[in-house]
Amino acid sequence: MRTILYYAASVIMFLIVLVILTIIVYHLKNRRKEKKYQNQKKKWEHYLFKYLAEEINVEEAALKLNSNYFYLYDFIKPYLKNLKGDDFEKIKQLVKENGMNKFFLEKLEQGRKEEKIKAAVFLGKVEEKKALPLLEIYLDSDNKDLQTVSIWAIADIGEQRLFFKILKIVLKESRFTFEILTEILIRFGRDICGEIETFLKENFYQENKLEVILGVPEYQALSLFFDIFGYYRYHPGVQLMEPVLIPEYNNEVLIHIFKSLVKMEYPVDKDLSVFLSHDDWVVRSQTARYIGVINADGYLEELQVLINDSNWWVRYYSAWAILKTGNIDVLKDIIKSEKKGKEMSEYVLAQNNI
Amino acid sequence: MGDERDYKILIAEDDESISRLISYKFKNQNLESEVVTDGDQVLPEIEKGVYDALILDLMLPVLDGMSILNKIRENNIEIPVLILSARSQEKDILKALKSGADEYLTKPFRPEELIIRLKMLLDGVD
Repeated sequence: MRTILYYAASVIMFLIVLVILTIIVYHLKNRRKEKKYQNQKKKWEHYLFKYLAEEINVEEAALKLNSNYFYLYDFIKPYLKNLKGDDFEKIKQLVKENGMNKFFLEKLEQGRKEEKIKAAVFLGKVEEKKALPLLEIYLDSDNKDLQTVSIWAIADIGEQRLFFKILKIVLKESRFTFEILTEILIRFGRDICGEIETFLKENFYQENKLEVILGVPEYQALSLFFDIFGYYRYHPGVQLMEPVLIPEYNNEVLIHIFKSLVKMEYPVDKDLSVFLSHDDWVVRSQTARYIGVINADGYLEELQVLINDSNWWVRYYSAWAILKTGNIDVLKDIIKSEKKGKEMSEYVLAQNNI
Repeated sequence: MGDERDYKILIAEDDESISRLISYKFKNQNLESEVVTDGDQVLPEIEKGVYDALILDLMLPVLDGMSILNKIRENNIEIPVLILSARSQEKDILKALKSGADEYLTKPFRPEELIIRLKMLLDGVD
């Protein structure tokens, strides 16, 4: 019995030592690998900076940065993420020259799952159009991660042909919030506004057609489109907003219209009073804001009423709009005569250093 | 920009790849620079009084860029501050400018534009 116990204890001890040794070896190996990478990174950095400063040409730089493509990808990632303009274009040229694009195109086709994902991200960032046929196939992939990175990559490449295909996918997927949806779609670039305008002109005025085509309620699609118009200050888009700029229309869409108009600072030929008395406080506040932004005349009376609204933002934007439309004396008078709205008037004047 | 002396710039940026690239570009423009990566290193450096401008990332570890900016202005430290941030929303830009930032550049950025804006700031100070 004692011998068995002794034997068992020895085996356990041996296993513990073995595990500890394995951990140490693994750790040392990783440290060596990391050190090697850091040294390699320093060398790459030296040549990359020289290349960006035009001290060496692309061929020379490509010869110095042409191994360990996965590590090279990690090295180059922060520059692709943070730079634009000439330096970004130079890096794009470099990765084409040093074979990185070719390597990742192969990985996108034949790599393991995680390699495909990395390849899609990289090829999107460097706007490699040769990746498009595969990325398009991956839009229908059951692998949601691969599908998502393919969506972002196509948007980064800005392939307008696939805009509506991607739109249909992202609108149906609950994992994309409205903000993410907008971010994906604006990556296609300003030219996409023209595509949206044509699409809406063809389909918007036919009942339920948008819903049938895109598979989501009309208000969702319109909110998104109007947001994109606003982001790019696309003035021709206003003519498409005007027909639905009526108080009975969906609140969500009205809010997005006003937010876009604020960004565009574009005046519409509409009586805005009906929106200042809207049931939804967001519509009221955004209308007041818009009136201030475009410096619209004729709403002073309504704004003075709204300075006492139950909602803080409505009170704030009303006071702000009174100020922006050149009626500073009205605010001063409210304060002086201790009328309702005194507090907000004081707040807005102080905020504007008055 | 005056040619008489080199300017010294403090770069507060946690992405070392980017801060090193900026430093490299500065060197070619006769701009001397130091880099800090944590937010709590910024004020002690600034208080040395040797820097002509600060390039400040808003998302720094330990102490965020907005808190640093507020402290700089509360303490009446007169140093031009150029924000270099991935936050590109209008409200973030306005907030930083209202809090006393002199310039705001969003990432991704053009290093050449950063240098031009910085030089304009430095010219204004001179």
